[in-house]
Amino acid sequence: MILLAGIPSETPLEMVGTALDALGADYRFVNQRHVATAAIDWTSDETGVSGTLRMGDETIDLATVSGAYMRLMDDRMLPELEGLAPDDPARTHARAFHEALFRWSEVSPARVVNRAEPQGSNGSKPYQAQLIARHGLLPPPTLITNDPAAVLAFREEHGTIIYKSISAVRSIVKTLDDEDMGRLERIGWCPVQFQAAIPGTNIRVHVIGEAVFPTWIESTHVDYRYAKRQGGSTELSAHELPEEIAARCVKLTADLGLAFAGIDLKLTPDGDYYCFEVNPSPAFSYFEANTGQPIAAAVARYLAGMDQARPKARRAAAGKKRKAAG
Amino acid sequence: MVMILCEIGDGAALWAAGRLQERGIRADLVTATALGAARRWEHRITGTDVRTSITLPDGRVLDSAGAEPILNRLSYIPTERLRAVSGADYGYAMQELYALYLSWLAGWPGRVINRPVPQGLCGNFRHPSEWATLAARAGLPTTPWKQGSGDAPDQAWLPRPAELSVYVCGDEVVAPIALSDALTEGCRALARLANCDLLGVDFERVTSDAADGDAWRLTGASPLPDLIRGGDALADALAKAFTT
Repeated sequence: MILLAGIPSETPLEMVGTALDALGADYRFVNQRHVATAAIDWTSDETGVSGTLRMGDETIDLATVSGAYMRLMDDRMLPELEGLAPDDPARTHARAFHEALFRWSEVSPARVVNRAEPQGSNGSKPYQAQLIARHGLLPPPTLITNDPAAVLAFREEHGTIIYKSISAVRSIVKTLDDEDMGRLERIGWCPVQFQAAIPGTNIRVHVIGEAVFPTWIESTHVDYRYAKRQGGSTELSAHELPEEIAARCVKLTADLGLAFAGIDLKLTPDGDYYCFEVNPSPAFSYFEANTGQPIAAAVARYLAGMDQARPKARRAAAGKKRKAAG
Repeated sequence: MVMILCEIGDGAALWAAGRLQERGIRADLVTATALGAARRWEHRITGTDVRTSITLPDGRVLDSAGAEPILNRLSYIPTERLRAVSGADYGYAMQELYALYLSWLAGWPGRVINRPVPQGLCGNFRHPSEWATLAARAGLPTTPWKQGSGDAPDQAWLPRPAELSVYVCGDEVVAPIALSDALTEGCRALARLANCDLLGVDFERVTSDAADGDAWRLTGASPLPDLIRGGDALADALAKAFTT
């Protein structure tokens, strides 16, 4: 049995459900919007983790759950709870149900995509950069400081530099321009992260278990995610990584404790692969819709434990090999 | 010299500083307040090379070039420089500082007890369900953890009284009574699974008819234990951890 937890109409969850249908796998949605009729009780002891999950009229033995895809939204924001007081019994039940479900997912022996604990590394970009560097992928040269003089020296050393959040909050990348230089003394209040601007082409690599799906990204803007919003454009296409780089991505994902990750690489004109971050909760649908890469199917196969039968799955994801523009 | 990072009222940190000095190891207290008011930060990552330099208000400089060992008892982000910040910006600044402290202490070249993780500045403050599950994997007798949609989520975090507190520090297991080999090795295994160099492990006595003494089962664990109760044996273990 596989659980898909979240809102069934959310695109990634829906796509994985469709892929599980194609596999003929046994799965259930844990529909957050039906929380009023859901209940869970579980125990962890010296014999393992056991319990039951009830959704409507159906009760599931949690010992039979071998996989879970967790895409839960903040239960406090559920439309069904809108307008209810904080201590309304419906809210109290929803909070307790979600907390119990979440705690079960953290200790269950099932394949969980992804558990919360290993997702934590993404909350500190420089911390994650240290983990990335240990896996043979280059993080951009990074300076975090509240000293304007250090920033000036860093810019002198690297030429164009960018700045972005240290944490995962407000994570928008911007080039340090003349206007920013005029207010640089403000960093005295709180250290800011600066990085050498790395020329080249962005590659988003989705890793699920052993399967690797690299996507080549041509964009008019520094941060391709916001190009369209800022009047530019972004084009995506399937790509093929050198075997060694793909293997590093797989190992990095596994060593971070993640089953599924979206890794942001950049290929420079010199042929170097830089790694900017590992996204532990990738909303892959945008990439699959634009490239046709079967990412949802790979997630489904992983959840169903069917990925083990295809250790060379990464080859199925092959696209073109290219060089970065100079 | 061991740097002890701590809250300003942390008696266990003062105790540790005194006991380490008695054992010939210089110790310098660096309070969270001083860190929060640091005059200058410089944290660099170049490939696998991580360098940090922090200038405190009193002029002391914590520099990774010195690779001083650290006893890390920070549990909250110091907010001295954020008093003028409010609303959403305050939460953002807190996240930024947490991310910086995490990277700094994770990349410090000297020994750090305990290293930070995303879930805690001095180690992972795990939910009781996770301790119960990890303890079972470590082979320790454990109080079963039960949770359901009828339970108040906050109840889990209420402290539970400990009848026996055991400390794991490096390879040493320190307890006020003689422990069985199984319990000793179980505590050591739990610290390894929890990725903690220093771990406090709490037990409750199990009513038992067993003729061979008391039986114990785990009720919880912490990467920030009250060191004072560990006494001289724990001070010896700490000194050993920082000198070997």
